[in-house]
Amino acid sequence: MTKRRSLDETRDVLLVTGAAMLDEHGPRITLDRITMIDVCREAGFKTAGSAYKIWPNQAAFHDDLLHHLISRSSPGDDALGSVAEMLAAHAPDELTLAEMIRIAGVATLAALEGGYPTYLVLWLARRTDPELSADTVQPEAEWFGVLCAFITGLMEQFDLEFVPPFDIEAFAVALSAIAEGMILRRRATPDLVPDHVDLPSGPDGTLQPWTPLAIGFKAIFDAWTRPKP
Amino acid sequence: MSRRNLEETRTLLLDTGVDMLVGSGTDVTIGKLDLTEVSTRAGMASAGSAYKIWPDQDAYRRDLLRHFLDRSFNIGSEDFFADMVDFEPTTAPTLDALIRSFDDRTPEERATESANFAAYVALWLAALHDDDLATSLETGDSVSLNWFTELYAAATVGYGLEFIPPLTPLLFAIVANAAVEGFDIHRAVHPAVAQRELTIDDDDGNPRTWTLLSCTLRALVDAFTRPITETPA
Repeated sequence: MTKRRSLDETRDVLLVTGAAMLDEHGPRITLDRITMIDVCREAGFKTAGSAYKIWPNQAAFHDDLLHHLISRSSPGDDALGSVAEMLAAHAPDELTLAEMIRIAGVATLAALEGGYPTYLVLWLARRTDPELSADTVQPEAEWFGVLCAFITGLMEQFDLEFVPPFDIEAFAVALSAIAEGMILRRRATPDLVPDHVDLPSGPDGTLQPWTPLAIGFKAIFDAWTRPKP
Repeated sequence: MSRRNLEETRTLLLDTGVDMLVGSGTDVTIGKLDLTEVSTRAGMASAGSAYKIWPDQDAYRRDLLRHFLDRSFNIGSEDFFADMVDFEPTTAPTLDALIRSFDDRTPEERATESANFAAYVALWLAALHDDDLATSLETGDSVSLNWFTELYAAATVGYGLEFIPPLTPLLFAIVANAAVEGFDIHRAVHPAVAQRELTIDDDDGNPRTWTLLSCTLRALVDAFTRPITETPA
């Protein structure tokens, strides 16, 4: 016979299961469809009895689930990890700034797309929930710090500085905004958004595929940064 | 009191539903919109009239989504576009002034746009698992995107610019819309940075206040366009 779980263990199992269901099935119009009974079934429980010992009702469960989503790693973490991994596959002295941006465009989109719908569910929920909104401040600030540090590292690698009055925070927000908006665009009008456009950026003007996102990234790099004197 | 015909009732209930959706900050999502509640909000004694129009809640919600999209994608675009097509160089704003005007909003206008955008995000999420809705969304978004594409094409010519091949007005509209929507998201997440305003010299040499989004749009204009080059005869 399996060991009985403590309430805390049960809570963890059910929150992780609920979050996974949200990721997998997509938020069919937010959390409404993630019921405690379904989550218990998915987690292998016979009934929802254990769940009701933890949360008095569905709303309390959803509230806890949203807080759990906040504490999970952000989809941006995957994007940064993926960009770092793709860049690491190239020898630093062979990697031009344009090539780095081109690669970052591909990696960012690929890594962000999967987890982004769940992030948007959270984004919607906290618009109307001040407590939830307050709870997201610190994790968002931490994540933003990580993003800024990552971009600062790239700026150093390529000997770049910001054109005043731009700075790392403005730059990081603009890049994130284009990346996240592009996910919305790609799903909304898939036939109109090309996967890539061929631009003569390669050695001797050879054509290379550029995602629309990478083209947006490069526009911001070109306008807001410059080589250090 | 004159009785409403079915079409008037339909429009009233759809408008009320959209108002509830936008006004609730999408805490009430489409899945929770209840026809009885919508009828009550619209001042009707019961949902009886509503059920003469739609057989069930789902049919109402589908109609509502289309109505929301029609309403969202019609806001001001046609007038703005007509003005641009009649571009008159002597009275037109400078290019920088035009770019800044895209993000020139009062706090009230921004709040309304933000609520509309949140409702759009709720639809976008719903469309991930609803093919009919995804098709409606795609149709509405495509119309909007084509308006902007024509607008940008007309504006560049008006300002003596051309798109650098193979970049196109459509691609510009896609990236610019992504930036606009991304900033809508980030104004809520990183308000201190995303709502920042910077003082930058305009193309007429005078310092002006630019929002971070308008700076981003200017960077995109610079990357996508160049002064029209004379082609040899």
